[in-house]
Amino acid sequence: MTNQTSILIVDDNASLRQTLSLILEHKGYAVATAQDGLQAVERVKEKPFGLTLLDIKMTPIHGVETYRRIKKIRPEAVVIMMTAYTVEDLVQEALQAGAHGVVYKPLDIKKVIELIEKMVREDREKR
Amino acid sequence: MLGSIFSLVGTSLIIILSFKLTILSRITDIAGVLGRVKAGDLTARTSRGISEDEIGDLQLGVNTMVSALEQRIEERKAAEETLKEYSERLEDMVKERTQELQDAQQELVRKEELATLGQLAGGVAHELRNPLGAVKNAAYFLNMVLEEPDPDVKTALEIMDKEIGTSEKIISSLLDFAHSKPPFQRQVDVKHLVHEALSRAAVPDNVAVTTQLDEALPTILADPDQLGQVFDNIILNAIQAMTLPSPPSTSSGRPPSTSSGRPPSTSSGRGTGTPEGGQLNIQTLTSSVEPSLVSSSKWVAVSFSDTGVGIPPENLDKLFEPLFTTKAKGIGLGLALVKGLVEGHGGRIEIKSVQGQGSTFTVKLPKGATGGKAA
Repeated sequence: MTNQTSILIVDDNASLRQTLSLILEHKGYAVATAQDGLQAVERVKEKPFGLTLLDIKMTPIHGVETYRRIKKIRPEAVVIMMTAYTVEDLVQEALQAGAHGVVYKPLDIKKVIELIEKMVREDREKR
Repeated sequence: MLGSIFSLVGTSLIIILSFKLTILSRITDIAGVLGRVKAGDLTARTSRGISEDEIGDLQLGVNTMVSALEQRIEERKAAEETLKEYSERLEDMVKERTQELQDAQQELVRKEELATLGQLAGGVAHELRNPLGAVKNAAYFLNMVLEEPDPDVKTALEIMDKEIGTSEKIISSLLDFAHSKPPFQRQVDVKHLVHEALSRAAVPDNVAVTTQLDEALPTILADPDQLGQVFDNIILNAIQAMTLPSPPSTSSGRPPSTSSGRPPSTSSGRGTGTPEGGQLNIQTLTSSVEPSLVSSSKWVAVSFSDTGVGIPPENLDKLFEPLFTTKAKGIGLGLALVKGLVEGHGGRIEIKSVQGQGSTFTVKLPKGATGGKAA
């Protein structure tokens, strides 16, 4: 895998964004970040991303709403939701809305990387 | 002639005197009876020479009156006795009802406290997940970029990894406690769940595990994930009671990892104050063990007996209270979670313990409407 895929990390926790960026950049991905849903929508308007890692619990718009807005702009967008809440209604809502997967915090990075690679691979195969 | 008159007068006097004495005797008898009645003896009756004359009528009248009085008093006593019984029953009923109300009130308070505690635990756990996630990511990154780290750095990173793992487990136990959901029930084989729990448990070398699981045990309606959690926690507690250098364990602080049962070592822990290990026996209860369970045919029971340090009697009542723990590690939610999950299934958990000898936790679960034989 060439890992030229660009990944957008959307999370209101700066430390999480920063550390996840470090890991994924080290793995060869091009990483951009957004601190909330509105900023994420702006980033997606600017350019498409191969994958978006999107936190669910955020303000002013939560992850599911952000997901919907991203999909309006980029229907082909591949999005994995992140949450610290195992029994969150929004998790179900996100999956029903069509999110490609949900990962739970604290992230099991190995599994997340495996999932990212799988998603990127599948997305490439589709294209 | 004069002699006859004297004789007649004399005889008359004798008759009169005799008659007077008889009357006097009968009146004295009446007076005696009245005196005894006055003193409270209602068995007293006149009996002396009752004849058909006015005094005889008086004697009978006195007897009738005393009998009536005796009967009235007996009736009154009986009525008083009945009243007393009613009064006592009423007191008992009031006590019973008061106790029921107090119990209901306590249960309500307990549930409210649990709900508040659950919200707090859940909130804290969620809030900790983000910063812990960042620390975990940072540790992962360091492990990734430092290909051959300095031994001290390597040790520090290993400590970070280990403690991050411990923190995650504490957070998980808080969330389990905060979000215990109604059981999603289906037919489950309890024996299978016991074996699975044992395969997940980290059984040290000095703990031997034996099982006596009835092959014919019926399946029950239960949530396998929740019952798995119940068995995990009880097994972990049993192991800790036989291995940790602390007072008897009361809750799980560390969820188990994968291992299998092995025979006990003879040297571990000797002379250090640490329990030397022991034996954990898990069995499904049969008629020879618990006749009442089988006769009712409504329950399936699994008991977990350890030969650990046991639980002091004063701690038995508090054992299932949230946040109660005697362990150096752990936050005291494990057994509270266990109790909640078992009761959520309509079951109950019982404990018998002898300090210094060990404890037995027995989980009793209703079979459910469609329980059948396990395959």
